[in-house]
Amino acid sequence: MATKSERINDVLRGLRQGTPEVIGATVVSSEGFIVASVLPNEVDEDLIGGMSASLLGVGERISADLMRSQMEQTYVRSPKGYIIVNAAGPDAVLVLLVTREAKLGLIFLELKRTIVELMKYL
Amino acid sequence: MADVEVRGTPDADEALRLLVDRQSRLLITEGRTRDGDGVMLVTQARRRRPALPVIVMSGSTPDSHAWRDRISRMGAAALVEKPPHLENFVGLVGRMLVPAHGFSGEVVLEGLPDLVQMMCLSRASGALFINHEGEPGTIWFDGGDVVHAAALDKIGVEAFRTMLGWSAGAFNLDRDARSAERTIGVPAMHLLLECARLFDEQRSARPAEADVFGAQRQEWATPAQRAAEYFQRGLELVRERRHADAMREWEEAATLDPQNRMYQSNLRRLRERVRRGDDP
Repeated sequence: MATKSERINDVLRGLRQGTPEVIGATVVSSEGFIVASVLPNEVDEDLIGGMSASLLGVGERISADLMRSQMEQTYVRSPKGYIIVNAAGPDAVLVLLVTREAKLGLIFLELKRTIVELMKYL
Repeated sequence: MADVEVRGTPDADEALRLLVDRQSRLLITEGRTRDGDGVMLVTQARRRRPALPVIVMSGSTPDSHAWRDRISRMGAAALVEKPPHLENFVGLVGRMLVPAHGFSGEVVLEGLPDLVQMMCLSRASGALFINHEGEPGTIWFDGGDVVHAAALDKIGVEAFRTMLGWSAGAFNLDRDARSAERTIGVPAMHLLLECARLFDEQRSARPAEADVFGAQRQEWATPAQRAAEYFQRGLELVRERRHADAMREWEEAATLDPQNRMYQSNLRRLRERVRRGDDP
């Protein structure tokens, strides 16, 4: 019997296989711990976990204080690509590492589908 | 079968010479000969032409079961007792020469798990004869389930694991073959998942788990699966802000699956939090 974490890993693996522009995906709990991840070997999991928690904190603060709303999504763009942090229910976020060549519209579409899948296990 | 040319040979050496031209589509041989040529011929033929179907003719003897098993493991597609029933025998030869339906050909796959997965997903039955550097092995399927495996002197899950560890070889599939033995009772999906896990590990050059398949004796809980359970419990404890308890669970997970970077990363950061006194 697969655990929730293993099922979430399967969903992330499916996302990465179906969308080559997604080079890594991880689900981070609201406490800042990695619940599941499919990341390339060269990516530091500690860094992703820590940074995601920081992004999540800042995003939530901005949404709550400036927009009086809940954070849905934060993303960072660099010449090398994007890091997208998207809420996945009240207790987790989905973090995607995406190449610069990706079409963001398609990525967001895949992201929405993935979150619907993830919500079964989160 | 008017279009079939039958060529007889006086001995195994001559038969092997005929096989080299690659025109032969079927080998029928006497299995039990005084000088053991029949057995040698099956072995050599499978080595040279792994996809060539082989029919072995045999007389019934008291030790025929063990002998049949030996011949099957060498890769014979069918074993026919003498005297053969003529119509059945002609039918068998016909099936071996011309597939009744579907496609035939040669394919090179990256690993055996792909092949096993294909057999399971298509709910196929039959025997998959594998030859790895002269070492034969067979996996039997029934309705998409892996029911029996034999390789070298091993049978069951152990043989299956051995064959998955082979990095290259040749295979031949006989969809008509059935195994009387059932040494594997694990659901096909479970075996498939384990196949995928092993294959992933081989590709990423990570060391395979010590005893992935041998874990059948431990109710199929592999170290990685047990680690995942500890990790899951730890996540729930973190949610309840019971960090010290969560740390114990994650330490178990990290010990059971030391290659898992996620466990190590979470554990390091949780330790840091506990050290800083974030635990209420």
